[in-house]
Amino acid sequence: MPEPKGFFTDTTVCIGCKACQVACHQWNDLPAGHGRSRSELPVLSGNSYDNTGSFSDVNWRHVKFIEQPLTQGPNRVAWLMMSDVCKHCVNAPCLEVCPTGAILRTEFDSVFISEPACNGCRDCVSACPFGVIHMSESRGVAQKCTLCYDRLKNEMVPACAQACPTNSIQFDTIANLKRRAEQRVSQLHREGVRAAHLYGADDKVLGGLNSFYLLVDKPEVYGLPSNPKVPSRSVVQSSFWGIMTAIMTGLGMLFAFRSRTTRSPLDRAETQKPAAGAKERPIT
Amino acid sequence: MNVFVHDPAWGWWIIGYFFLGGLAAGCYFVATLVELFGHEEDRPIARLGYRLAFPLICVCAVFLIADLDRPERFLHMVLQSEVMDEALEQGWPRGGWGTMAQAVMLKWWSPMSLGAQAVGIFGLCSFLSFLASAWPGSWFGRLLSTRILGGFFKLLGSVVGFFIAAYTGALLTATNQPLWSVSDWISPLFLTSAASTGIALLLLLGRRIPHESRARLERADLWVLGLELFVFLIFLASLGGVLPLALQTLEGMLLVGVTLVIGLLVPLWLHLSVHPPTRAAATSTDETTPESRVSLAAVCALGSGFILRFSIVRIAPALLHRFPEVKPSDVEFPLWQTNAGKALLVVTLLLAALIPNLLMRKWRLSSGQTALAGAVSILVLAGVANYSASPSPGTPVIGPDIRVRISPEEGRERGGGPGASNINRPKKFFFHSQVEQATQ
Ligand code: SF4
Repeated sequence: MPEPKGFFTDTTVCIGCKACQVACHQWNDLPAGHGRSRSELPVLSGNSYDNTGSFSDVNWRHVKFIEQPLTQGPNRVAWLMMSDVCKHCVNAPCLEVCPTGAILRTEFDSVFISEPACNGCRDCVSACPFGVIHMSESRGVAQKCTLCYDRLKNEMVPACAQACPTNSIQFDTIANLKRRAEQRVSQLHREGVRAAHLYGADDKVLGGLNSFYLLVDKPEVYGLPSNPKVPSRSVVQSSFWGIMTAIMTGLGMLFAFRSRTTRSPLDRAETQKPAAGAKERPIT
Repeated sequence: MNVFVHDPAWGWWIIGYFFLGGLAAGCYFVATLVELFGHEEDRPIARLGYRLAFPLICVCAVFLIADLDRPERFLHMVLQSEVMDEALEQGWPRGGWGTMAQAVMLKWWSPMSLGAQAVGIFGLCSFLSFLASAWPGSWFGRLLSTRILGGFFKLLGSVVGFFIAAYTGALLTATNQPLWSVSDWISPLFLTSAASTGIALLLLLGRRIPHESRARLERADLWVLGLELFVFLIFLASLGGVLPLALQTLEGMLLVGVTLVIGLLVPLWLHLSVHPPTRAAATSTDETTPESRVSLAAVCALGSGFILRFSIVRIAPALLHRFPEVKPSDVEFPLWQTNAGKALLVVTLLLAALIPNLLMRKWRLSSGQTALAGAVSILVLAGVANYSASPSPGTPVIGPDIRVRISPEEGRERGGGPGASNINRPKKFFFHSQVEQATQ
């Protein structure tokens, strides 16, 4: 069995060149996005170097430019950059909820959408805590990064990791990546970047992320939730209250309709007489 | 609150499905319970319920399929087509039953998967009941009214009915969307709303139900409305710090305003204000609430049941749109510190004091029954206070917070391999390879 593989993204060396995005588009044959309508050309955001904005059905990678105001120095703004992608979560919420079984765990521990099975219910979209999955407008199926499954099958490195010029995106076995990531964190700590930490390397976030990150600020600053939910963990609690309420409803029906049984047979005989009184109507 | 998620764009089809599905389920379980607990004279209620439930669930199925982006593949939620093909190759139905059984697509830890199967079972149950109620004299109708088999069937039917009513709420909770994923009380809320809308429809259409039965149905309605009111208050409290944000959206205002006032308080008032059915009179023929009032209450309940589904389904995208920058710390505070929280506590306190009191006076409850009503009120008050005092939304300060790991995905050993996917269509792994020599 091949070892689990994934990405380690060192955001401190990302330069925002978007080579990964281009490589992803090229390898996976993804078209350019479009503007508000399908015939419109993509629009520039106009307020950032980030013109991708978010993940989409054709943007499986998204380089984020996080602008941070500076109080000192000649520049008014500094950037945190981060190339975002599907995290191939160890307890993937998308895979967990998928009712058709279209979302699969591969032999590389990555999460893969098998398109012919997907029927477009969009439950995975609502479950993914990172906003990764989008529906293909043309084909009506869920779309996301495949960790270049076809390349891995052929012992090649995913296109984005190969294209990254600064080695911000590294691809390897998870064990190797963790070792390297920890070294990098301690190096940064030695250099005085106290805030450097890993996100998703341990099992706290969804049992671990097969694409984990080195960050120098809180996860929320990078648009990453610090405590995403495993959907199935709320099912038991939710059902418990549901069952309690069902029992209460049943009891109410019992009380309301049992009032009858306490009556004497004489009363009952009377009610079976033909309708009397203005409001009485025949029984259907 | 996680605002980094993407909106699944669940719109009118889903809202319609949630509403009509609840209505169908409500009609059905009310009907089965009436048959189980009621008497011969109450039969018309059950018959009407069965006649409504089946057509309604058919409409639901259409809505559910229409919502899919690939409607022609809806069967993939129920059967794994490639395994089914295999079974057909083995000569199913003459052989290959083992393979066919494996073709069933069920992930019991996913509410949507379980729900898709349950809709099928519910469809079947309601179809059988529909047939039996249409031809009560036929052998089939008589079979379903036998004591043991019929009783078992009715019990099964009410369980499935309750499930259909409640699972849609659990489905919303089992996501990572704002508001939905916070509260465990959406499922009970949808269940009680299914009951109240179901009874409302029965009262509205069941003009020819004998008055005595109607009176009992109204009694049940009163109970269900009270229950829904209490569940709704706890639901609001369980939202914690998300509630003040929700109240700043139109959907949130609709949710609270319409459900609380038009859906619950107005019908309760209409039922309680005149002709209180006294204990003795509850079973006599001419002490029902005037029909116009009952109809008005029913229309209010139905309308607000729809608004409830609409506002809950649409509030997640509304929150995403309105508060794209909310940080988790922005919602981590006890609800009672806000005005909304204080108002909620006051309203709960008032209602918890008022309702047992009203019941006692108007219905001449015995002291035992009043004590029971009082105990329920105190429990609700405690529940609301419990959630309002908690600094993190959705978790009570004291009491059960059961987060059981039920997904096999969580138990799996980390590493490559199928994990939860062993029923995730492992048979065929379709992928489009750009590497020329790579084939399946
Ligand atoms: S990041 Fe989202 S899409 Fe990727 S595996 Fe996790 S839940 Fe699924």
